[in-house]
Amino acid sequence: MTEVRLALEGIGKNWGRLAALTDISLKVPRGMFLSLLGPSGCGKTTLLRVIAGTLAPDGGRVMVDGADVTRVPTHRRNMGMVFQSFALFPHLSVADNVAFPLQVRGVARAEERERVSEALRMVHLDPLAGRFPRELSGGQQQRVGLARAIVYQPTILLLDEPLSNLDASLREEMRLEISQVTRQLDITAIYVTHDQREALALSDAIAVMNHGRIVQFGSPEAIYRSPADDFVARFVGYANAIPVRIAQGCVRIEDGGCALATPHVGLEGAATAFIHASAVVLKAEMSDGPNRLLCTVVDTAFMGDHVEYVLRQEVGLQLKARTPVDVPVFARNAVVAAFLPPEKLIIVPRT
Amino acid sequence: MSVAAYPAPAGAARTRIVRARLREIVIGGLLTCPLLLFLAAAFYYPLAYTIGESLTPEKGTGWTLKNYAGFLGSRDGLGVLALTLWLALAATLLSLVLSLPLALYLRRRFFGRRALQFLMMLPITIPALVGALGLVILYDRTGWINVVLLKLHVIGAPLRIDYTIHGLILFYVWMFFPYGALVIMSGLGTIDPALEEAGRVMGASPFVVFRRVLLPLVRGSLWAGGVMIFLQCFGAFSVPLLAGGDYLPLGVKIYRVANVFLDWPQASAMAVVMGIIQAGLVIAYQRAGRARHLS
Amino acid sequence: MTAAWLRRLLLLAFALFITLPLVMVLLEAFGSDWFGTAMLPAHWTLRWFVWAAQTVDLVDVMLNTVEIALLATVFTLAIALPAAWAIARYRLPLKPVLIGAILFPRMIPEITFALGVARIFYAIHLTNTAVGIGMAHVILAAPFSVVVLVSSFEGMDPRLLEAGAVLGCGPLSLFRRVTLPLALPGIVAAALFSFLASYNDFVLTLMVYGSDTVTLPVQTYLSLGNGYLSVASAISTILLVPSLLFLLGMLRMVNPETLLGGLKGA
Repeated sequence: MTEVRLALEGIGKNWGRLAALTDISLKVPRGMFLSLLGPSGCGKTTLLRVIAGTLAPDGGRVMVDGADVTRVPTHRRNMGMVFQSFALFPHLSVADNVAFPLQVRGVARAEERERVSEALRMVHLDPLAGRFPRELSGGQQQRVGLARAIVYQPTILLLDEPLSNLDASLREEMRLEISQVTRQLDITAIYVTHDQREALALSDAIAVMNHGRIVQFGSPEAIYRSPADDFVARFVGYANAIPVRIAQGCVRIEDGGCALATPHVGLEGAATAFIHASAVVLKAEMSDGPNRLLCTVVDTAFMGDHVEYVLRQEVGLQLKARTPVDVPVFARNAVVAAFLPPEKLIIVPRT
Repeated sequence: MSVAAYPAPAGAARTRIVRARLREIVIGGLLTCPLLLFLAAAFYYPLAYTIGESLTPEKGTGWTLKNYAGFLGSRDGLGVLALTLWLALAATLLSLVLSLPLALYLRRRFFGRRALQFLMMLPITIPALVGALGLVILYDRTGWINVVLLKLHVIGAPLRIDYTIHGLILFYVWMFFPYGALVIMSGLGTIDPALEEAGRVMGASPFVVFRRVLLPLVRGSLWAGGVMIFLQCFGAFSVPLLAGGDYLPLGVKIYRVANVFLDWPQASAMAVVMGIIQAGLVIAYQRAGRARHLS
Repeated sequence: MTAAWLRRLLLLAFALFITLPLVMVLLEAFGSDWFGTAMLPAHWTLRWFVWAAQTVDLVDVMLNTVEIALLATVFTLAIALPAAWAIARYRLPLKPVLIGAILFPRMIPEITFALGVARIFYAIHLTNTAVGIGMAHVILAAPFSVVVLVSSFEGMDPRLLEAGAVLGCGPLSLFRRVTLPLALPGIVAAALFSFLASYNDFVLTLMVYGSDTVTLPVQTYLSLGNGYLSVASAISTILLVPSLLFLLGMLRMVNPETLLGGLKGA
């Protein structure tokens, strides 16, 4: 069994009467890239702060390599942190910024210079060593932040929404950079984000958080294919959530009566059937097939590489569909047949 | 092929523009006239008069530099100048020592923060005269400070604070530190809080974070705040008038010379020197501020 | 635990440091028979106020102070408003010089120009008149008022005026319904400041006052000079009121950092 680098046991934190974190427990093995994924206010940044030590939990323990560090002050935890706002010291050059943690640790000059160059080379910024933060673009600043966070070989790397302040075009590039560096160093990383695509692309494991709790923990595939509840399903990107009722293995759309063919479900009672917009198949009114729903097109939008539809079924159910551009486009108010392929339906119990 | 430039307006269009501009200048001028005329008559003319009077002898006519020589050349005069500058410097340094921790502490939210901010504004909002009066009463031989210190056996005999130099410095600090504190608070507010967090995560203890992250970034505000305090101390009048005792810094000395000794030319000369020093400091400060912002 | 305790102690010491001098003034003003090393006066009384009303015409002095302050405020606004408007919205030649000339009075010590003002006012018989002293106070009030008003006018989004015109307002209506309400906070601020500056002024007033135009600050000084500490304190108490009200009002509305002439936005 690989050693556990970071373990959280029953972490709780309250702001007055508001519970920001409730009973958070995690085990992060060495070298794992874990994402804390959730909407704003779910507590992910709070949890990151507790791990870093800048926030003291009201209950629970933080264990690093088996040692209880809950009471250890931040500056002795030897962790690295990359910030959303970059947090580069404006009065220091790029090289001095990266050298800062080494100077604080009293590293010898020669070694310091070498390690700084190495770190900057890893993020492809060595020619800019003499510049100052204000002279750099957002992407460059964040790369300096990354170099600064790893130059002293911390046990754990914490990343607080590092891509949020970057232009959309830069984000993917930076994401790859982060992935590369963390893999190269085989470092344990905790990554906070609200963007599920980032989490799915970067992580070895994801902890989905809502209202201060972890609602699902697992690999990206597991979370994507089998969301634990409708919050996770919605958050991970299922555009369609159909309320259903299951009785004796038969799945029926609520208030509509129509039965749905689905893969075997072991549940009973109220549930939600999720399906991606891209999985919904639209055909002419006359066609037939499993899970056929007759709908009117309420709205269409041509998005360049695909077409998006908002459909309304007779009894009021609203569906979103997405088709590639090379199939015929349906006009507004047209009547179409929408098919929900059974194997693409995810049934999740309703909370 | 080059792109043709937009043709400059000519002929009728041009006259319209010129006329509109002239109209703007004339109306603008008319609107600012009352203020400018008033300042010319009520401020600049008296100022010129004072400069002129500083160059006339006490008795008789003609021009002379004797007043300036008498002030800047005499031991008494230089003593007054030295006293004023030394008081201002000492009070400024002490005020900064008080203001920086205060400003640092006021960054976080805590119960009573608003009240503290209110208190901090008190000395500069109330009339200096009232503040000076209160200070004199408080630090008197039989005032509360002495009474409490004696009762607690911290001292054996009452301290003389009123009418002493160190008392005056203390009073200056009370009166003027908020000027600096406000500037420092404003400066601290511009520092990204994530910087401190970053420092701590990277291994710097709170003291090292203060020394290597906060201090370099707040240095400009410390200077600016210090200059503001210094200027106020330099121009102080009510406080030394009430609590200076035998020590007469420049403002009070000028008043004495004019109203008590009725030597207006001498007083004028001193006032001019005081004005030049203070204005000079303000201008130097503004230049420095602009240079800093451009870098 | 002790770190928090120490911090609280220091804060308490600081609070006392600031407030005790004012407390002393209040004690002197409302107490009698406060002797020796007693912490508090033996009795509480309003007699000093009565005494002041009778012997130094406290009511008259109060009325003088308010009258002069009102005159100063009105006059300041009258000349500052148009000038600020022009500075904010017109392109004037030599604007930096202009602004420098307006702000210069605040860069030199009060006593420096008070000397000249006193001489000139004496020569043209403006000393000892409410109008004269009010005008002198304008020198102090005008610069900051112009700054506040310029800031207020510059902050007025011209697109709002455009919108008003599009919605159907003629020039007069536009001024009444759009410009004035938008400028009002700035005008009120300038007015309050001017009033306060005049009400509290000491140095300049000291040089140009006369027996008919004694103001509260001057009277405080005179009473002190005559050795009447309690009476001076009583007068000071009245002197304090507008400043304290102003401070309370300001803190309720605004961050202290913005009071330094608007360095940061609220």
